[in-house]
Amino acid sequence: MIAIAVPDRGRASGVAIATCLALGFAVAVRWQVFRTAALDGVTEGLVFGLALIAVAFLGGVRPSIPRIGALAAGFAAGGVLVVVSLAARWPFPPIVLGHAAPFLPWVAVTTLVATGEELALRGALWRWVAAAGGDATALLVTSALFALIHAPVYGWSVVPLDFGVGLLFGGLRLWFGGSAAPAAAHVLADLATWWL
Amino acid sequence: MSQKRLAAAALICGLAVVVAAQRLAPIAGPPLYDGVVVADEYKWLSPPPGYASGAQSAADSGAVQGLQSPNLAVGTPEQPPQAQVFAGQGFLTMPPGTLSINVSIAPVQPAAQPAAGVIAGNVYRFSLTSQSGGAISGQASGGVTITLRGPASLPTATIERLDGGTWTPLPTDPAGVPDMFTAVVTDFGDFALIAPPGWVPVKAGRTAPANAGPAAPGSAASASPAGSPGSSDGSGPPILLIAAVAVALTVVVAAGVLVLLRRRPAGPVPPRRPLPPPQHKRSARSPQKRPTRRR
Repeated sequence: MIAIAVPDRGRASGVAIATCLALGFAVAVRWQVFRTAALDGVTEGLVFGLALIAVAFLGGVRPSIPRIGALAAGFAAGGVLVVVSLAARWPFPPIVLGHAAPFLPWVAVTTLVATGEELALRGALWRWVAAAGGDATALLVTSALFALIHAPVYGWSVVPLDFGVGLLFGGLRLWFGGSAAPAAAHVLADLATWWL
Repeated sequence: MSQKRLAAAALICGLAVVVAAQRLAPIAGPPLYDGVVVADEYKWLSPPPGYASGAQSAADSGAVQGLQSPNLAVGTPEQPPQAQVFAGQGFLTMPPGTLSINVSIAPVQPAAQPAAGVIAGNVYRFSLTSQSGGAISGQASGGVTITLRGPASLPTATIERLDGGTWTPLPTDPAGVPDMFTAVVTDFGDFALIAPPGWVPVKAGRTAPANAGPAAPGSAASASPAGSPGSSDGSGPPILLIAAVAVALTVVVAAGVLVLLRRRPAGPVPPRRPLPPPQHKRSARSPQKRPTRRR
């Protein structure tokens, strides 16, 4: 019989903290780039997205083929988020965003950032926090961090909303057992901003 | 709690929190959780040296539907718009006989400077009038908002209205989009974003100088040249270098911490199941080969 090596709590906690630090560093770099306007939006997103992918990879996430069901459920959840957001402001129209960027590069970078966040948060970090403290702890920690990492750029007003979104994405991660479903939801919700 | 139950609870709670947050404190922006917002360079009415000019106006009109004001959404043509006004249906107070509402937004020179803070960007004059020129206002119950986008690198700002020569702050929220802020209004007129004292604009794609001092609150559109950020030599930022360094630093920090952690002795392996006792009887399925004796 082969015994499956399970990381002990101490090591899992250490790696979780390391992943948090790396994530925080990536967010800090992005904040600095944003604050000083050192890069245009697409390049800023590219840097942030690559940093997130690096954090996820170092945290143990490896590429795998997602299940169709998980992707479909994720896209459905992303659609629900868009509908809820529009319905909540009814009858007021949304503000006009009008991205000043070519469509395809914007799509690529937006997808990279959203996927990178999911791989880092609900991929790598979730794995280690869950190993240290269980799935419920992982759900709360990743949801709280998801809300907090958006505050520097988008303001504190987005924290309650993003915490709720984090819980929703965490539920998808729990249900489907991977990052594919929350990543699909996240990508769809972000891409919707091009048309809204 | 089983994993599926926890998942279901998280999905339900998450959706409930999303709906509550959107209803109680809706962000003005689209459902943006970490989208990449690409803003055109800020267009100034009277730009400081090295900054872009060409701030534009907007105008539109809407027909009154019955006795209610129509849904209105008007924004200037920049990407994203630098000034927008939104009015929900029925939230405007109109003079009797109003058949249509004319909306105009135009950048104007500031008639006065704020007592504290710096005007960040242009002053915009919002005008809503009836077809005969009668003034229209927003209802006190809310439902009419304006949104202003400032120059790049504007973390905090307050929308203020020029009221009798004095800038009056309005309760302002970030619009969920960088450099963009929104406020509920009842009266129209001149509005501007007021940044904290010392703020200076940063030209997008360039870094602010380390010695950027407080901007002289002279003209709204004339940031202190001494503190004007960004090089004026026309050279762009080393984008690839910055990107490479940022990613490399993140990788190095993460890898370093992880390597340090992995140097620790591995954790205890879960106890193995006790091995079954050695079997002394020969199994019929795996007969041992007897050594053959040579004779």
